[in-house]
Amino acid sequence: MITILNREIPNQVDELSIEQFEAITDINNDPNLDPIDKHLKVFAYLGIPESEFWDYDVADFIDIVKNFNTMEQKDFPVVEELELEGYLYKAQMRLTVRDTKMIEKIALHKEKGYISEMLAVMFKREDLTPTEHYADAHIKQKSRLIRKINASIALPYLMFIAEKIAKQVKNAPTQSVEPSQS
Amino acid sequence: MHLPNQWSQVSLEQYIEFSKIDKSQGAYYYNSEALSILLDEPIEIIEDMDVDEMSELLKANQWCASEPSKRYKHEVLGMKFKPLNKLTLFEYIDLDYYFTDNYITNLDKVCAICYRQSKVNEWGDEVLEPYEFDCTIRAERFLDLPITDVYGIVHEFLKYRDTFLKNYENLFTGEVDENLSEEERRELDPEEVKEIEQEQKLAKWSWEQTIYGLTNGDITKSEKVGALPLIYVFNILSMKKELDI
Repeated sequence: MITILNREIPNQVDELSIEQFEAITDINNDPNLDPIDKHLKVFAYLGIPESEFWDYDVADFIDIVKNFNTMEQKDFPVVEELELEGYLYKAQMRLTVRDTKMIEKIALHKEKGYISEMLAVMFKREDLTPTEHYADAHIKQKSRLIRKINASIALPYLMFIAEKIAKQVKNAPTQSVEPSQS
Repeated sequence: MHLPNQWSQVSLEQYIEFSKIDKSQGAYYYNSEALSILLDEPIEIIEDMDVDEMSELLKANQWCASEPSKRYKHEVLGMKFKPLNKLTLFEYIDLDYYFTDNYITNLDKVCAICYRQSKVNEWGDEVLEPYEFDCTIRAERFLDLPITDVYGIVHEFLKYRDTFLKNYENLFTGEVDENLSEEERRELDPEEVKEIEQEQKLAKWSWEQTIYGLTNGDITKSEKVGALPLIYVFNILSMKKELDI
């Protein structure tokens, strides 16, 4: 936690819920905002209204931003089981082709809330069939529950997905099997 | 699982399926669908693979990134390739339609029009069967052929069509644009919109109009005109235009 203008707000990953983490990520990814606007919006989201910074010196604001963005170096443990509303969901550090296709679809089409949906693909209930697990409605419902959990649970999985996809891109150029139609 | 290692091991049917994969769904979607087609395995088998396993298979499939050979066989399934300069009007119209629509997904039908059964006539000359069959039904026979047997037809016809259109360019009006969007309609004045729509109507019915003109409006003669050699028909049309008759 960090205190800004006498308000204590979370600034470490393990102090945020996935919902908050997603909201902050969305603000940071907004191409229409400059860095100052982004931070004003992030602070507003976390409880400090923009108006409180209006009379603030820019140099002081930059210091606040620097302090806010200082992350403690931590290794977050891999959580392989989640209990959500009485159901046990399990995940492994493994991606099947179907998982990757779903994650790719989410990344391509979902502008907001993609972290919770990616985790919803990774965490599976053992009593469900693959068809039930990958059903859009099930993934959406599960992602709603996942949004409430701590963001630190998401990090190892996001790192794993990013590394896996980066490796795939490096090793096998995507769409390598596409025939030319010229 | 048998993974082909060159285009000659891929059938025309597989190649057509390949071209139908929706590319907008992403690279993993595309590659898994492509592997399912190449391996001839249900998509579920591919989807259950570890993503690294798929990556290894893709590495072995780099040859797919290149186009199949532009050659084609002049005889397949006991049928002979009909020289394009011998096409009839109806054959050309159908080929033109299939090429404009999608020459890969229609390649089986294109083959059905281009390859013909033949026989030796009473004079000892080889004659090709007339175009009196349903090419959509005949097309099925070609699906199991290796794509490399027939792929070159695409280039051959495109080349031929280019030359043909150039030779008779005085008979063809320019390309007609797609339907006007609402925005385009607002920007143009009503007279211009009317004119463009009229051009589009004429383009839509251009072949029918040509046949209607050639038969002097007697549509019972359409089949006879359609069976005439394309070059002959266009030479007559050119003559009519030049002499204004």
